[in-house]
Amino acid sequence: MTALLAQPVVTMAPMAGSTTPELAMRTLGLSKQFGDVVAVETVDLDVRRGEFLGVLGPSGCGKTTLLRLVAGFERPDAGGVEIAGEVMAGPRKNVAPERRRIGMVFQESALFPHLDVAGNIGFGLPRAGRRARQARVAELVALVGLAGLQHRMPHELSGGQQQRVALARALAPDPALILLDEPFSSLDATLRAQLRGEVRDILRAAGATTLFVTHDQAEALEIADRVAVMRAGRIEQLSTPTDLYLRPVNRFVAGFVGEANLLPGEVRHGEVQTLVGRFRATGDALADGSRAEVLLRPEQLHMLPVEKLSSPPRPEAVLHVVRRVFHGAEVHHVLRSESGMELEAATSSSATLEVGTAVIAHARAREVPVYPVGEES
Amino acid sequence: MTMPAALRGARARSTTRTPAPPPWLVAAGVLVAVLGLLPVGYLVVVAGWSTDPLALVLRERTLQVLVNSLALAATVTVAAVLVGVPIAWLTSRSDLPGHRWWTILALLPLVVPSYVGGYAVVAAFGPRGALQSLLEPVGVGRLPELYGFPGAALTLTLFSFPYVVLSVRGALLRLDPAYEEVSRSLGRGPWRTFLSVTLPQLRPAITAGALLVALYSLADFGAVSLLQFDSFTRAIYVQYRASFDPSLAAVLSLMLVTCTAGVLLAESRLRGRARYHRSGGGAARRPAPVSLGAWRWPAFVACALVVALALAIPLATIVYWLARGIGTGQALSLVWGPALNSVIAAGLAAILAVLASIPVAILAVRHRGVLAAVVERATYAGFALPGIVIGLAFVFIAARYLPAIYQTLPLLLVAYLVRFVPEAVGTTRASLLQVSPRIEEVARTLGRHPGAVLREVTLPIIRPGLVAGGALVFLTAMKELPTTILLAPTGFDTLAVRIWSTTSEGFFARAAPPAMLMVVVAAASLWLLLRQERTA
Repeated sequence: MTALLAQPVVTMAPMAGSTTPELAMRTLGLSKQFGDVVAVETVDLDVRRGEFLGVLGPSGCGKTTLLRLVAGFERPDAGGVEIAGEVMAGPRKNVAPERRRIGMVFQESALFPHLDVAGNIGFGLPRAGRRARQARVAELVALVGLAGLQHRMPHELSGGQQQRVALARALAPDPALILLDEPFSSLDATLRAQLRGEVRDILRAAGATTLFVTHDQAEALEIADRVAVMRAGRIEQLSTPTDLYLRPVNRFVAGFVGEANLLPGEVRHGEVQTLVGRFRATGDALADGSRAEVLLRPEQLHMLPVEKLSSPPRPEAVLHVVRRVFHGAEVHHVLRSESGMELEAATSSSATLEVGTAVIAHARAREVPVYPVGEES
Repeated sequence: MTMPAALRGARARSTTRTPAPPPWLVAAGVLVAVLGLLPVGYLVVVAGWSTDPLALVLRERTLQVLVNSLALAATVTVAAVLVGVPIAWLTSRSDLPGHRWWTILALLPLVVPSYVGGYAVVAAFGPRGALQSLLEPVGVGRLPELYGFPGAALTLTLFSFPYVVLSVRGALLRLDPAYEEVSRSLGRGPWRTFLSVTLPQLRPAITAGALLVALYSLADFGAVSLLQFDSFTRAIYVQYRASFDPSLAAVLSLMLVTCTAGVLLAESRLRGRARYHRSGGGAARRPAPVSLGAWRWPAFVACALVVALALAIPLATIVYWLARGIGTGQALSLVWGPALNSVIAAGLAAILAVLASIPVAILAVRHRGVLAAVVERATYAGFALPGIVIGLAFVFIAARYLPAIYQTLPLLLVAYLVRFVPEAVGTTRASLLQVSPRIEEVARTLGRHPGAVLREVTLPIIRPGLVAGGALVFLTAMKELPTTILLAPTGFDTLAVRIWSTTSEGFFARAAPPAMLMVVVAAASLWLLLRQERTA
């Protein structure tokens, strides 16, 4: 702790006074370590009002610690947290969780087992004003689609219903920020897919600002407005799901979000020559003669059977289909080159090729992410 | 028998990062812990008053008491294993007729207080006892001598062998039948398989049960005092009564505590290793019951004999003397005063113990660390300390520093608290472990400060556990004898004291009504324990 504070500490000074009303939450230089393990390292994150922001990362990347720092269950070693323009954590300041105006939903619904649905939802509402309280509970019960179940006890609800009650309970006091900690991962796959759409709609309808963490990239891409990809305590990239998928900033993000083919090649005259064609290479790290890797998603890769070509291809460009993976609407073909490199190409299920077919692959896109090789990632 | 359950709780589950406990919690936990350590601490001080404590230890009479105690504990332990292991096997693995009933009947003696057992044995087999009255017309004038070693050993064996049954039965039920099946498939017969495969696996459980029996025998006051055998507990009491020099009583107490602590330490070590006895994953498979064949009915008779000695004869004896008492016009109403006193003292003890258990359990579950571990261990001192030792320590402390509360109810309650708080900590801790910390965190985000979370969320959720723990303490405190004898206010007779004092004076008929009530209390505590085992 002292060691961390001895380093140049990011102060919260620029934040105070210059509060931007569009920001529901912001962290600056937020850091936390447990013993020797750095859980969160100088994280800067903004959540805009009304936004649905996902924090995505493998387990142990520090995303849950980040959430708990925002909620106030952990005290940061350095940096700060601001919620709705108010400093909640910073040097010499740490506001208790009960005064941060946040709502929280955990993986396990954590409903109060001794209270019924209405009791759970009304728990965070001010004690005074019984009628206003009842009205608010009724409003939320309707919002999460559980009308008529007010007097059920938590154990009488299904897993999905429990999570909706937990959500209503978090929304009831009208918090500045809703925090969701892997809220769907305890549910089975079908229910999970259905519920995450519902939860997003409910939060939208309530006008809530949401920060949620997940290790499930499909979930993050599907429901978040923006996604922050985290690794080893740091945020690697923060952008929209489309950008994240099409323009990952490094190979880690490329590999973590969606399926990735990384094709090696050499930079020549501002282009990378690969097995499947040439791609534009820009940037300082991509000098002529340096090694680079090109990211191609499976659906960007097209296959042409060698037998249908008018002229014979270069022998090193020939690939063979070694395996097919059926995904319903599309089929992924695993292709292997002479040198043993494997690529994945997707086609629609109606246009599959037999295992053993010799093909050449090419990509129509010219503007694809290119990463210098040797770069730490 | 609540001892193993509560001690099991002491082994903390280890996870990373727990928040530092708030000061009030630390203060409350430390207070409970200090109370737990106070008796032994003060006895050390008292022993030091003597000019030469070591000479007291090495006195011939002291050594005689030590030999007596160890001989009694060893005899009872061996006898209990010899009775308990076959019963455990018969009730769990054989086709013994009615084995389900035998299980319950074989466990029942455990909850009968030893002084009720002692009373029953004396009132049945002693001079002027029921058996002699029945045999006198046939010309039997004198039964073999009962008082002293034989009676004490018999009584303690009859009422402690269920520890062995409980422990060994549990191990037998957990045992993976695959081991035995492998042995049979390799050509060994059932008997050789039992000796070479099953028995070695049962050894930890047998030892664990045996150590509990040893602990019970060392710590028991009721049976040895009624049967007038000079083991530590009786010697301590006699010494305290007879002499103004407290040092010898303190030295005897510390020697006894050393013995019990040694046994307890060995037991808890062993249990750590004696767990996990399955060859692989998957659900526990129950093996087919072994057919006893021609041995079926002899086994039945053997079980019946044990149950007759440990249950039927004591009950019959109580009923016999109850009837004789009523026949001679003895007023049953005499029992209500002591009964009320018992209820008051035990009820208050239960409330206190549950309240004291809350900070200890919260520290142990939510704030794991060195402090929590020390506090929790210290509260478990009540298990290692025989009631006579706790009672004596508080007598000395009050007589010297707090004469105002000497022989008052508050002092008795403090001693009860030290003695019974481990039971309450056990149940409170277990129910707190069921409450996810996430639930408390949600309550924080919904605007409650930590105190409000405890009041509105945590305590309501664990209330059933608190009530169960309180009930357990209540029933145990109802049965408590030595602490009560030493510390109860003058004239404040409880059921336990009444049974003991009337039996000591040979008024068997007068002891019968309170003994009958005590049996009811004992049955209630067994019922409660079995219910807890099922929900745990």
